[in-house]
Amino acid sequence: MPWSIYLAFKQLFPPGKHFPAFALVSIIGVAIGVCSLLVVQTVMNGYGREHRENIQRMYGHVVVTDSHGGAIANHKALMATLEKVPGVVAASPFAEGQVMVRHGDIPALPFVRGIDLDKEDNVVPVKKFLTVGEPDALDDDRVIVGSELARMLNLRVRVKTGGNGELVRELVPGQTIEVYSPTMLDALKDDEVPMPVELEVCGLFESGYRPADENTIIVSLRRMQELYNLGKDVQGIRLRVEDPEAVEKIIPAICRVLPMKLRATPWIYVNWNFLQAVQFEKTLLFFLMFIITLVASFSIASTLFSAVVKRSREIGILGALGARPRQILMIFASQGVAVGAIGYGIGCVLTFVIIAARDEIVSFINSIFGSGDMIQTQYLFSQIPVHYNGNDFLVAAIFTILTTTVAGLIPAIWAARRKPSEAMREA
Amino acid sequence: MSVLKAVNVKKSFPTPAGPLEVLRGVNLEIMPGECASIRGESGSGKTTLLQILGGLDSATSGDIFWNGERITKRGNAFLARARAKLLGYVFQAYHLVPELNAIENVLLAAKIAGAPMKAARKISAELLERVGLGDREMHLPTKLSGGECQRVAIARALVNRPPLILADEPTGNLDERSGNAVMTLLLEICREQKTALLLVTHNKEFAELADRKIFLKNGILEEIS
Repeated sequence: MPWSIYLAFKQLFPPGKHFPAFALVSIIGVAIGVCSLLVVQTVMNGYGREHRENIQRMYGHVVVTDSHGGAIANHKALMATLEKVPGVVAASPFAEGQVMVRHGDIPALPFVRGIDLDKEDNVVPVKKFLTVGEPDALDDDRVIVGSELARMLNLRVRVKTGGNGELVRELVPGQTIEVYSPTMLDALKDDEVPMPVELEVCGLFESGYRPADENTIIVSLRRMQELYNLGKDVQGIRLRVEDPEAVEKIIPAICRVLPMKLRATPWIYVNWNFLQAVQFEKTLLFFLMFIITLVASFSIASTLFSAVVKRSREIGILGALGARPRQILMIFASQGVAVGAIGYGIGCVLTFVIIAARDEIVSFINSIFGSGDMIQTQYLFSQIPVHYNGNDFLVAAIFTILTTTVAGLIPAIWAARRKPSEAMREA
Repeated sequence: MSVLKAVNVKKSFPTPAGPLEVLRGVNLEIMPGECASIRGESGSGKTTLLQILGGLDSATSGDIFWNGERITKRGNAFLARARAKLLGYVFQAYHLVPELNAIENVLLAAKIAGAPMKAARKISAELLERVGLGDREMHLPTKLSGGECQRVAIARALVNRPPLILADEPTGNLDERSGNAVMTLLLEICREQKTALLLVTHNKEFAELADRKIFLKNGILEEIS
C-alpha cells in the first residue's frame, strides 16, 4: 500500500481512539444522504413498475382498436392472423364501456369488460385475480365484480369450511345486480322505462390496482355485445407479446397485417403521460435527495480544511522528509474518497434495512400522525411497492464518491501547494 | 566534493517599513562527514538559513548546491526527491506523526524515499535499537517522553543513510539531562556513520562539540577558530 494511503487511513481512524469523530460524523452524513437517495429511488422504481405492470395487467401488451372508435367485424379471422405475427403469443377479443348498476338501493357507474374468459386469461391473468368464486361460473347471466366495488354495493361474502378443512370465502348465493347500458336509453320511446338486465354475482376479483378493483365488473363477451348492441362485433383485440419491454419493435409487424382503419397501441402509450411523469419525478427526486449528500460533502470539505490547518506543521514535516506535493495531495484526497466509499456502503445497508421494514415504518408514522392508510387510499397500492435497480446504486455510487472526492480534493490541493517552510511557520 | 555549499545567499522579508534583510550574503561549505554548528541569538535567522539550505524555503538571491548539484530554482518535486535521498532533518519539536508508532515514524521517511520495504524495516529496527528504543517500537509518540521522541526523530533522519543531517535546535524542548543524552547520541551516530551534521543551536556547550563552530551575526556567518 502506498505510504500516503496508509497515512490517510491512520489519520482517518487514529489508533487507540474508539470514536474517531471526524470519520464517524462525515461517514454518517454521507450514509444518510445515500440512504435517502436510494430509498426514494427504490420506492419510485417500485411505484413506476407497479403502474407499468398494472397497465399490462389491465390492458394487455397491445390493444388493437378501430381508429374512429367503431366496432371490429370478423374478429376471429383477424385474431388468427395476429397470432401468426412473430412475437405475438396470444390474442383475445373484448368489448367494454360504461354501465349503471344497482344492488338494492345502492347504485354505481362501473366500467364493464366483456371478455371470453379463457381467451382473455391467455393475455391478462384474469383468473389469477379471482378471490371469491370459480372462473368457470361466468356465463351470459352472471357477472364478476371488483372486490372494492362489491364492498360499496354491499355484496355479502361468507366464510365456510371446505372439504380439506381450510376456510373458503364464498358469495352468499342469490345476490344479483341490475345493469343498465346507454344503448337501452337510446332505444327507449317517450313514456317507456328502461328494463335492466339482471345478472347474478358469481365471483369477486382483486387485481391490487385499486381503480380497477373499485370500478370494474366483468361479463361474458356475448352479454356485453348484447348490452351495447354490437351483434357479433367486438370493440378491440388485446394481445400478449413475448417481450413487453420491447413491444414497440413488433408494432410495425402487427400494423402490416391490420386493415387500414385499425390501429395497434402498445401498452406504454396507454398511459404515456403518467409513466413519463413518474420517470420525471424519479429524476427530480434523485437531484433533490442528492442535495443531502452534497451537504454531507460540504461538511467533509470543511472538516478536512480544519484538519489540513491543524496538521499544517505535519504537512511541512512530510515535505521536509521528501514527500512530493502529489503525495501530500493523495493523503487528504484519499480521506475524502474513503469517507465517500464507506458512507456509501453503510448507506446501502441502511437502505436494505429501511426498505425491508418499510411497511412497519409507515404504520408507525400513521399511528403517530393518524393519517390513515394513505398507501391504499391515496397511492392505490395495498403496500409500498419497491424495486431495486442496479443502475440506481451505480449512479449513486459514482455521484457520491465523485462529490466526496472533490470535497476532499479542494483542501488537499491547498495543502499540497504549500511550501514546507510556510506550513511549519504557520502551525 | 562538498555535500552542501551556499554561495552568497541572501534572504529578505517584505515588511511595511521596507524589506527586512535577514541573511546578507551567506557562504558555507560542508564536507562529507564534517560536523559543524551554527550558533546565533534568537531571531538572528538560524532557522531561516537552515530551511534555505535544506530547500524548504527559497533564498532571495545566491546559490545552493547539494553534492555539487545546483538546487536553486529547481521545482518542488525535484527538491522533494533530492531531500528524501540526501538530507535528514531533526527539528526542535520532534514533529513525529502522532498516528504512527515509533517504528512507523522511522519507516515513513524510508517509504517516502522509495526504499525497499524489507530492508527499510530492518534498518529502522536497528536504528531504534541504536538510539535505545528497541523495546518501544510499537509505542505511539503520545506514550513516549520528549527525549524518546527526539531519539525517534534522530532515527528517522538517519534511516535513508543521508550524507547530511540538518538539526534545528534538537535539544530546545528537552531538559538538560535529556538534551545532553540526545546531543551525545546524535554526534556519536553521525561520526560512526560518517554523516555530515549541520547543527543549529543557541546552546554554546553543544555548539562547542562540533568540529567547526560558526556564528551567525547580522546576517553573515563568522567562522570561530
